[in-house]
Amino acid sequence: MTAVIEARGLAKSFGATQALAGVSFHIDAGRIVGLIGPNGAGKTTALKAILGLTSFNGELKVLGLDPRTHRDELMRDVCFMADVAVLPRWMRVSQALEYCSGVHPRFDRERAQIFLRKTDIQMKSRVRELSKGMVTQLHLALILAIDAKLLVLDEPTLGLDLLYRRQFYDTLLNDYFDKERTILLTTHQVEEVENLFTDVIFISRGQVALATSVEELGSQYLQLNVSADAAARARALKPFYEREVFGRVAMFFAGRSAAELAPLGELRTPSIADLFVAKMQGSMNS
Amino acid sequence: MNTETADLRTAAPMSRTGRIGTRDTLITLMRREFWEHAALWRVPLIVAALLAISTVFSWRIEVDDKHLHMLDAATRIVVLNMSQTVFALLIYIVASCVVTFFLLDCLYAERKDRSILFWKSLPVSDELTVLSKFLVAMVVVPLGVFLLAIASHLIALSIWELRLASGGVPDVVSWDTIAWVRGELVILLCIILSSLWYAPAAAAAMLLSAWLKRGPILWAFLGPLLLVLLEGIVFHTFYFWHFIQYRTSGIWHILTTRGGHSVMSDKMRMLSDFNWAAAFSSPDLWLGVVAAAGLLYATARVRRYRDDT
Repeated sequence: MTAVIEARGLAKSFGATQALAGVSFHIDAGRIVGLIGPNGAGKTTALKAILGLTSFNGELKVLGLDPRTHRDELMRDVCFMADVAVLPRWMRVSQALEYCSGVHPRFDRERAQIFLRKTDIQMKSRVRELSKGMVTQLHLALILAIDAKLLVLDEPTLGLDLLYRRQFYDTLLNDYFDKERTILLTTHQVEEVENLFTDVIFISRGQVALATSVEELGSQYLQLNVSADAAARARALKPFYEREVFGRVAMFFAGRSAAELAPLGELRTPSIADLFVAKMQGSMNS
Repeated sequence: MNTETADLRTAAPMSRTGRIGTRDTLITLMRREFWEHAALWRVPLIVAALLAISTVFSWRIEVDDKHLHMLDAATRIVVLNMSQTVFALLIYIVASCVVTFFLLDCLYAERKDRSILFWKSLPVSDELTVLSKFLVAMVVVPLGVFLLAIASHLIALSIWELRLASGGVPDVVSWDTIAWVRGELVILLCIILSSLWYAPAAAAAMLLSAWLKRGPILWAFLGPLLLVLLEGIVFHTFYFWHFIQYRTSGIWHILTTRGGHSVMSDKMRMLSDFNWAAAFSSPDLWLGVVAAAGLLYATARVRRYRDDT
């Protein structure tokens, strides 16, 4: 199977700051990948490189094409949503549909209309008259109607309330995602969407800190909750990060077997959010 | 929710085979400009409408029009041609102002409100986007002005004739189909000449709009002014000022000069009097068109990689 995205030594600098320092990863078709990293880690730069919005060094193939030279071709199969604020404010809902069906060969206006009928959005409304949540619904309607192979979402629900966020991801999963499509998503609200991901890529200081599928995550990483008195014995097994919670210590291990750790305390697969914090904090301490 | 979901999945199966030709995309892109910049059609339309009904209000005061009635036939046709020209010129001047601001704003506004990320999420090339905006400014709006001018002039003329029948206005103009067609042809040729001559300026405005971090409208006027001052102060020369003057009015000078004499001094018979050959064969005209193509290409490149969102 060919990778949807294949990056090797992806690098990009802004003056003296290195946004991406030789990043390599690959993403297969039919996955939902979370690109997770702290602010300024290079997430957005990586997405922009994938979308052909910025120049970069290194090798990058998206759907087999170089985004630097084949951007126009690529955008027929790639769809993206930067954040809620980018739909032109002067545009009417009907014009947005008209425009998309006028320029996108794979835009299905009827599909967008079906989705919009379930919302309170009026065809005659201008984007500036809609609430932030409604603008996202509109953008989602446009995306749902585009038959793309790769969907890139950069903080798509930033600043939305819980109901809209939940609805957004539910719709995405139920009405859009299938085995032929790939979704690449960055978000700060990792806890909320971590059940969505099939893969995660942690990115920190311009480098990939971790790239794995969620299934493999459980076999690679373990979280052990031990009482304070058992902590010393567990610590001997070299956790890469630990944190105290209500008198118990949560320790994070990489590459240890469950059999090794189980006798020491309560064993579990770390959540993506916890693992992210552990990886980030752990790498800072070391 | 579940039934609605099923609804969405089955009701509209997706087709992977759709195709949209470049021409259709271009038309959609140009329509989009008129949605966003409604002034592009509204302002010329309003001016045209005002001109169309202008003859309702004019000549209210009873003038001593004894000699007006004595205008000879040839002069009355000149009045017909003059009125055609004035109508077209007024609408054209107003539309030019709107177009100037449009050109300076069109690639800046999309960066300012970040909607460029939406436009770029769709399969439309930067070249086609830039071209569509340029065509709106230099082809669609000028042709629209031409048609509006015809319509408003004919309406105004009809009103005038009606009022003439009831004796309300002096008889100063007479209809002559051939003269009218000739007059419109002159206007059309001038509009074409104007679009060709100002193409590099329009393309330069677009480049500024795509390139400047802020205030393209301010810099488009302030920048050249500063350059002129700088050249004057440092080198005590005014080449740049002469260049601006030439690119502003040069073609009209060429058009109205024949053998070193102005054609305007004679009684105008318009079409035959203007020096069309010299104007349309001017190397500077076509060099400007080539420069415009280069500037448009540069604009598309800048839009492609401008990364300030």
